[in-house]
This record gives sequence, structure tokens and C-alpha cells, in this order.
Amino acid sequence: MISFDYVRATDVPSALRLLSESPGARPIAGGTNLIDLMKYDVERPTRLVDITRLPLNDVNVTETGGLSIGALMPNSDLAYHPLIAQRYPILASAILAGASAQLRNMASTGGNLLQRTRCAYFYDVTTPCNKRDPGSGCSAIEGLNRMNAILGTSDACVAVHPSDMCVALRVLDATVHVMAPHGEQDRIRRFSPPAGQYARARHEP
Amino acid sequence: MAQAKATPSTQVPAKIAVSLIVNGAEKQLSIAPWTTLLDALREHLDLTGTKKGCDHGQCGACTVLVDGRRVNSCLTLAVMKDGAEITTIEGLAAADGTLHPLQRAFIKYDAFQCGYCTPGQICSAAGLIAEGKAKAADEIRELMSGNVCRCAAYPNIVAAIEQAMTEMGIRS
Repeated sequence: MISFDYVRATDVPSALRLLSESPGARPIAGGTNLIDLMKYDVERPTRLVDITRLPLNDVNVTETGGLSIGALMPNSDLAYHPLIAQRYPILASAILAGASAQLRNMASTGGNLLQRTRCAYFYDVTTPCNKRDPGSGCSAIEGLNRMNAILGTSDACVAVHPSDMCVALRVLDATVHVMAPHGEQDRIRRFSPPAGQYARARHEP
Repeated sequence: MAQAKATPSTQVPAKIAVSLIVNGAEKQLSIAPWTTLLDALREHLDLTGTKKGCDHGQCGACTVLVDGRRVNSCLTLAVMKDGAEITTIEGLAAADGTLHPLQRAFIKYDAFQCGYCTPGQICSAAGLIAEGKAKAADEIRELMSGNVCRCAAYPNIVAAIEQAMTEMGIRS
């Protein structure tokens, strides 16, 4: 694998600082997507900020009667959480439809939201890909694309969204709370736009 | 070897001290941050029972238990598990050498052919039993889907897990 620097965040402000002071830094929690992409040379972080020890791994009932899910809640714990099973069975079913038991034990809710597309050309660094290298072109449009999107595409990208969990969150019109130096939150439909509204934001799957 | 003059961008980060409790014994390691738990077990601790298959989290051959939960050790950085309890196939049997019910059942039901996926299958099944979400054969099949067997010993693997569950009083 590539060489990188490893640091462990002790609280949210220190995590934000450790990430913002190094342009090549990436947060790591479950690592199931990021480490895989690093082995393929798609992701080349210079620093990994370990956020797994931050207190963000619970499910709480909100004042408006909804549920607030911590970003570090493992996929398996979320799917089997009694409140999710009882109130949002679509979310439990969607999570359990994806990956494997081992990967769900590792993968976090925030990481599931942020995982990158599984388009084969995104993984193949010898080919152009607008998601990996904005402006380089899309190899899938004229390539082997029977696993790619039919709806919600653009002339820049035909990748399929990688997450089963996000489909359920979109149906439920979930809100994503983003912790940034200045704080913000967003509806999941803007956080994760369809390929037709192709955005170059780094978080875009 | 002479130390090359390095700019910050090409400097190799220092090794990191990591403490792991592997199969009940505390192990101190000094490893590079990119060392996976799989490579730490195999290359640094000489525990070669855990197998490297795809190295991308798809085949399950590298499955171990971290604090009792089954994970893919190939996608786990060892430095992130500082202080954790790791159980590998070498640590499942009792101290007196009595095999784990899953190990006995895999032998009894001939639940392998080449055996390369077997350590991962057995550790995964131990995690499955601890999770308590599978009882019926179809539930076992679904929740063991993260472990691929190229020899296709699947019917015998499911039978062995059912047998172990019965022996452990989890399944009648």
C-alpha cells in the first residue's frame, strides 16, 4: 500500500483541525471503502485521521420524534437496532441487503454515506473517469456499461450510486448533519445528487 | 543503508507502537501505519492460519474476531486496533487442545476440500453464532455470504455450522 501518516483524533474539534491542516488528509472509520481504494491507487491520502474513538456511535430519539444516528454507528448495529427495526424497517432491510456480515460490522453510517461509486472505470486508474479525475471524460458511456445507470445519468457520468442504505434514507427524506469548521446540515437529496446534477464536490459518491 | 536526504513529502512516516491481545496473549508491535491486521498477524506474529485471499474484503478468507466481532482483517489497519482483543483460528481451541465445536463439526461434516477458506469460514461462523441472528439454514447461508468457498463445500459448511449450533445448545 502507499505510505501515509496516521493520527488519532480525540474529539470532534481535533478531528476537524487534523483534517483541515493537511490537504491530503482523509478521515477513516470502518475503512472498508477507503483502504480498498488505496490498494487500487484510486485514493492516495497523505494522512489518515482515525475518527473511530469519537463519541458518535449511538442512536437517539430527537425532539421532533425522529431518530438521530451517529456517524460512527456500524452498519450492522444500525440495521439490528430495535428502534430502526420498529420504526424504519426499510432502512434495516436496505442495510442488510448490502455487503457482507463482516463488512457491515466494520462499515460506519457516515462511511456508507460517503462511499465512492463501484463503477469499474472509477477503480481502473488507467482509464479516464470524471469522478476520479474531473474533466478527464467518462469511459463507461461508450464502454462496458451494463452494470451502470439508466436513469439519472448525464453526459459526464453514468455511475450507479453505491449505497443501498442511502436509497432508504432518500425515501425517508433524511437530513445529513455535517460537522465542519463552521457547521452545516443538508437534506440527503442535496448531499447526494443524481449524476444528472453532476457535482465535483469531493464527497460526491 | 545511508539515510537519504528526504523532503517532507517523501519522508516515510515512523513506525507506530501497537499493543494487541492476540488469542489471549498481549503482543507489542512496532509497525508502519499501512500494515493491515492481516499482515500484522501473518508477517509480524507468524500466525499464518488467517489467510490472504482477495485482499479486498470480498472473499472472507481473512476473517478474524476483533473484540468478539467478525471483520475482514485485510481491510483493517492494525494501528487502529491498538488495545483490541483479536481471536484467530489458532485461538479457538481450548487451552488443553480440545477443538472448538465448529472445528469438530467441520471435520465431521467434511466442510472443506482444499481448506484455504476454512479458517475464515470457522471464524466467521463463530462471529455468526455470537451475533445470534441466524438459526435456520437459510439464515446461516445469508449471513455466511461474506465467505467464499472456491471448492463449493457450501452444503457441508452449512451442515457443520448447524451441528455446532446444536452442540452449543443454540439450535435444537
